[in-house]
Amino acid sequence: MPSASFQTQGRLLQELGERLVARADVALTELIKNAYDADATECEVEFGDGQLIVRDDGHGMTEEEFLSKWMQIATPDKQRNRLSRKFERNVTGSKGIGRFAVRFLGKRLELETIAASGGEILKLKVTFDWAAIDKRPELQKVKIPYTLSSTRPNERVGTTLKISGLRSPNEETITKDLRTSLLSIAHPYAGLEKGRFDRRIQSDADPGFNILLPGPDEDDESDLTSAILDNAFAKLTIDCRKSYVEFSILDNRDRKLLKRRIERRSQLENGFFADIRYFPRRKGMFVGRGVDGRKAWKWIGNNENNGIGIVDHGFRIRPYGFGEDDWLQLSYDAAHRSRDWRSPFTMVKMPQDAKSNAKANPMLYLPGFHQLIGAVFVESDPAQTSHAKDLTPSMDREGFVDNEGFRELRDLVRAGLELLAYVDHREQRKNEERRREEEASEFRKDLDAAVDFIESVPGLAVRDRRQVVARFEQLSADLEEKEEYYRIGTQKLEMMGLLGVMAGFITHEMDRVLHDLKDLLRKTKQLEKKDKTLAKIRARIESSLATVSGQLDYATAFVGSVHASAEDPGEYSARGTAMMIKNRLQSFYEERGVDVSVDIRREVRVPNVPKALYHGVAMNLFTNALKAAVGGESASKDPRVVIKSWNEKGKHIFEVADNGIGIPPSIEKRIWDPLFTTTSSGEFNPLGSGMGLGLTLVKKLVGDVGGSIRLVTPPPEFSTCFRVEFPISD
Amino acid sequence: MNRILLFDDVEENRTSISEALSAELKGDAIIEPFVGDSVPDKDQTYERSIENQLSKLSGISLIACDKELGLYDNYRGLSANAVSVVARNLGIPFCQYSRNVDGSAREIQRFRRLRSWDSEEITLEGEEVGAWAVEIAWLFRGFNRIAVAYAQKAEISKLKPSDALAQIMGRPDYATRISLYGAGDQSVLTEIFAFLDDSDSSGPTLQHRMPRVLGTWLLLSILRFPGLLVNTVAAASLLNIAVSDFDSAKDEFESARYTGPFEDLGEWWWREELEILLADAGFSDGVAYMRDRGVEVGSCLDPSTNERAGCYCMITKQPVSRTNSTGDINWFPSGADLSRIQNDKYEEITSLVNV
Repeated sequence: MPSASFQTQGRLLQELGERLVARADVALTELIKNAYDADATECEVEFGDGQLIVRDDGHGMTEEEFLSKWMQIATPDKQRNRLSRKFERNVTGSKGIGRFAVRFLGKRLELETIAASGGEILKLKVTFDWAAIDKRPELQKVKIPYTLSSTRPNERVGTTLKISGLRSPNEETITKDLRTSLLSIAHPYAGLEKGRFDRRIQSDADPGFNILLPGPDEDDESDLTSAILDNAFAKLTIDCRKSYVEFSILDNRDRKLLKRRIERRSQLENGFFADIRYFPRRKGMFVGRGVDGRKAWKWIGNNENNGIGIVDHGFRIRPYGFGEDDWLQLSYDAAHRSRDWRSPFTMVKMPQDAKSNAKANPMLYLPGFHQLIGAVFVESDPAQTSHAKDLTPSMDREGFVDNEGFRELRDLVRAGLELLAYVDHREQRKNEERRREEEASEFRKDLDAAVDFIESVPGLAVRDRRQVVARFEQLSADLEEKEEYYRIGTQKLEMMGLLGVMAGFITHEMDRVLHDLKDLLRKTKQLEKKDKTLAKIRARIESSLATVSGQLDYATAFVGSVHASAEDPGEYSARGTAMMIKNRLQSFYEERGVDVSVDIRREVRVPNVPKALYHGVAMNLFTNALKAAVGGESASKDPRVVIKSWNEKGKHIFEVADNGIGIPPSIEKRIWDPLFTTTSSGEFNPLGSGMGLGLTLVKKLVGDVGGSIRLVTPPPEFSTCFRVEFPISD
Repeated sequence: MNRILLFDDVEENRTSISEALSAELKGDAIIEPFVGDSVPDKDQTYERSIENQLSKLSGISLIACDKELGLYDNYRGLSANAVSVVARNLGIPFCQYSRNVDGSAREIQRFRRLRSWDSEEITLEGEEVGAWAVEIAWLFRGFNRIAVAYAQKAEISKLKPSDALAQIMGRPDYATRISLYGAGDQSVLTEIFAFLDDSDSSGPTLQHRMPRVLGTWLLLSILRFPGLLVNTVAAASLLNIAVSDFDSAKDEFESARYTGPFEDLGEWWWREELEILLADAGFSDGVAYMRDRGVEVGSCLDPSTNERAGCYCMITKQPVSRTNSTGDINWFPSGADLSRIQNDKYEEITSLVNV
């Protein structure tokens, strides 16, 4: 049976070198990695006479190794031996093609390698002329001559690669650019914690690996770097192991803000460790910490320093964290003002009011990449090709294959950042509260000091002194009372929000009650034929039924309108609103003899204000006015409420006036405070509510749409008048 | 044999409605309560599972469904909405009832439902079992009448929906005016678009669906919105006869009475016939017409302005004058020119509900 075999042309090497690697720094990194894998303690890169030289002091290659490994494409040696032979380093290469990256750098390579072999030390020299090889039709038939010789006494084991015919003739540019990017790749993140991926602690016997690069050394910034990193606003670490992942967040005093451990199986055989430092631009972050703030912010703002990179086997992987790369979608979410957690691993709940209230939404506190300096340390294991779910470097050495393993890593790191946002948001709210309390406390101390001072002034008459002191003490007491109002009021406002959930159930249950009531009415009508006294009861039930039914109708529509408040309401009738709320409470005010009038022309339109908001405000002011008009001993003998509305010079005005007892000037300012109420007592409050939150909410809601509310001089014969103004846009 | 399928998740209710309905039907149809004893396939939605079961039954003429399901042991959380989807998929007429107070009894709710009338389901107006049984029985007969017309008159199946309905309503000459009620994008009619290709416009699939489509259209649109036909209040308002006097006057207008499908669910008159009756007798309104016949009746006034009414308010369900009402509402069916909403009501409701 005839058989066929693959034929390889000389150009294959060109393909491997040029197509697989697209950047000089990545190509050169592959050569440096090879030095590391050869147990070198030092790898020197230098330029000179149109040559690029990479020299290491590793174990070199014997003739046998040269022939069986170097000269074999895609040798599986590094897949078989995952540890280097001397220092047992985790080897970084695997595909056996990294050395062909030299093809990308220049046209010609001279390889000189010295190794111990069979009790003697021999030097092997060989030259590769890539252009000549490219032209040969069959790669197997290309003969590459090499020499093997004994070494001189001063020659030490190691490998030297001399690349000439460089791709770019401009040496200087190559040198500078290469130096910068090689530094970021080969010496990443000196000041960061690397967990179990720290190379210095991998083996006691390993003296370490040093890379010497060409060009003058710039100012040593290592002190500044570590000082900045040590003073980060917060430090997030993520330790992902095969069976769990642990998130930890510390503040800049090493105070534990969060520690969460999740037991779970990871796709990543070796897991990962991330150290991420957070630098939000907060006032006084570096004050008193021995760091020049201006220098520090300049350093942090430099794109070469900030971002979150990925370090695989000690070498940083492009493109993560380089330039404007957004692998964690931080910039995307900031641009879109995203308000939901993105990572499936984020295990904290979004606050209830986060949708409507930006201040309550921790996602809006998500750090930007320029506020972060950090790295994720991994050891990918591409040798296990069958384990396609684990982290796998892509063939061009730029990035990882987008598989389950990579997605898990990305989502876990993202979850860490979301936790950071959550904690930061929580801490800021706490700080705000603390600051407010401190300010109030300071103010109280000042007042006390003022009282002490006044009491000690010898020239002040005793009576005057007492008066002044009494005023100050009153002021202090008022302040404490107001603080208490604020605290409880805030709580109650939040609790009231929860009541909204109940509204739907109540409405539904009320429907059933009304149905049963109707049933009862039918039966009462039948009984009425025998007992005429039932007629009165029946009439009362019918009237209540109509009222409750109407109010339920309104409540249901109101909830519907709240849901639709994001839609454009267009213009609508102010008179319609006033009549609607008036009719809902008709039986209440008629029974109490309140004269309610609506003085609004039919053509008055409400500008673009959400309908539920306008109704809520109108209903609140109207019920307040009714309560004031009919309330207790202070009730007017001839209670009246008037609702007015009109448009004038760019504003829409809505007024509600009553002729109740009025609001004394002494409490005018207090009426907007949460919990402040004059109608909470059941005796004086026929409507039975009076939480003291109505006006607070009204003021907030009106303010939210650019409007205002205030007390104005009431019309003649009225005692109180609230005026709401909404802007009318052109 | 015709079947009426009954979905009610409470066994006691199923029994009481079945008994009452059985008495109303007098053997015209079998009542088949859905007891939910089958176990739905876990890989299927409830809709698909019920659809599979129902598609094996023949002769289902109507599905009547409690609006509040959810207590079926094997179908926890099943909703009337899901059953209506099955009915739509299978082309079966559908109606629902509720033990809660019907939302349409309230003005704002009524407005919201009118706003989306073309995607509504038929909802019974009664509030207790006896009333539901009567309504379900008449609904069944109405739909059945359309189905029989399709089965017996081959030429009807070749007509377009408005022409077919005009035939079935007994007034082919009103086909154009009926078609006005079908103008626009009405989901009740779009249901048959998928089956309306030229090659099969009179096919069995379409014929099977027609009773549901035409019956629902007739009930939710033509009979509901005064224009082509008028209900009692709208007729009184049109004729200028006080609503309270209309009962004693209506015999004089018997020739204009509507006698088509669903005639027993209410009382309707052909509006044009009423106008012709007055015109032929040389009178401009019903007061003079009735006086000529020796019956004194009062004028029909708008209750809030006391001016002559003439039109019908869809919210208050009372007579209303043209000047005191809002008409030409773009979501009302075209042709429903006597259907209006009283101005104050319109202003009040639209101050809270978006239109």
